[in-house]
Amino acid sequence: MSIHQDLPDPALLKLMAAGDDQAMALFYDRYRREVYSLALHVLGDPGAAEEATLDVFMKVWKEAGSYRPERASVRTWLVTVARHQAIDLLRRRKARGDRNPAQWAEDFLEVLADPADDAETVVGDREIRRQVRAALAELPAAQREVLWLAYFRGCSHSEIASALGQPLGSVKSRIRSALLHLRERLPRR
Amino acid sequence: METETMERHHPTEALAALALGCLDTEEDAEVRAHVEGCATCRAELRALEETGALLAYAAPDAAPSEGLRARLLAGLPRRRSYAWFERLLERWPRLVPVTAVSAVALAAILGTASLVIPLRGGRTQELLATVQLVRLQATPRMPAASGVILVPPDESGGVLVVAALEELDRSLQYQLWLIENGRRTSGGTFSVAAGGAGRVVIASTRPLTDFDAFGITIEPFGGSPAPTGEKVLGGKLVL
Repeated sequence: MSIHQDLPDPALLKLMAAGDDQAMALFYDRYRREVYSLALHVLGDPGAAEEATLDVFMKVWKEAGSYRPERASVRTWLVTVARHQAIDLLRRRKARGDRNPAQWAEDFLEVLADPADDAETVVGDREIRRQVRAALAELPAAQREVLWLAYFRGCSHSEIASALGQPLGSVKSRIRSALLHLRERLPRR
Repeated sequence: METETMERHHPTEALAALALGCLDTEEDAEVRAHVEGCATCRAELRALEETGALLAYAAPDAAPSEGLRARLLAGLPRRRSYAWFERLLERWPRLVPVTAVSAVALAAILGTASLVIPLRGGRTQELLATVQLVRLQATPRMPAASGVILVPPDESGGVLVVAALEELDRSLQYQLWLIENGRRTSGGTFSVAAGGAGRVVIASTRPLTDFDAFGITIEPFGGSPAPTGEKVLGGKLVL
């Protein structure tokens, strides 16, 4: 067992900034599933998702010293890096770029209906995953759709408006309503 | 000074889109500029970003292959903050490579005040003059062992260089202890190459100058929460 096992995330980042690869190994063990799952869901290709995951943790290693706790929790910072990395790769690969946005939204509904968690999913993660899916399932379909296109597809709000034939203002207000609903329903972490 | 007035317009709808990174470029810049100067919107944006990051949990859970961890750890680039140490080694031929330095040679180098004298350039001399050195003394357990801790000028950590330590059984490792008023904090574990030499970046969340002494013990592989094994090297930091 690592001597860093009980250290909180910000302390691990400090150690990583000082060059401690044991801290990096532990940080990877804590977040590998979350980063990889997100990348896989965005990219739809296990090989590409692994490359994105590797790039994310390399970036964390290089930028550990620049993390600012007053700006975001470590998890939010990491997930933001992971999402940008995956979406950038998605855009470069254009692997799924020809798909209809409406099809993506349908895929999302399938995911909500069939979470297909791995047997090894950490118990705490399983509960928050269940809560997130439940909160998303409560949203009106139109809000869920824009949220999906923005978050997992990396579409700008004008791209979403164009794809769905909706006014720009409606897209913005749906995104806000959806996030406020989630904020109300989900515990702070 | 930041001013908050009733008339001030807060871009509330755009903040949610900004939190998900889906504003178009021009509006993104405008809203970010507003957020920079508005504490209310900064707090709201942070809360929305924390909520938005929970969306990642909607992705079906999956695990990467076992080999990815090893690839990551093998590919980690050396810390930029230790570029000073790399420069030092490049300009100090007698320490390159460390594994080629005998215990006697290292002791000779470390044990004299001439450490900063036989250098090629003024820049290196200047660099070395700012690095604090802590010489570690051997104990009877390994009388030939020697070591030094180099504390960099920016106090961001340090580097431990050792020579003539015994190669340990695979179930054991050396562990560095950072000591402050008798309280010991782990500075990391390490093994040595054939010949007993090693160079280790010290893991510490605090400047090494906060500590008054350092010690190295033999511990179970992976380290211990507190020293349990025999001490092989130790030294005090004199400021």
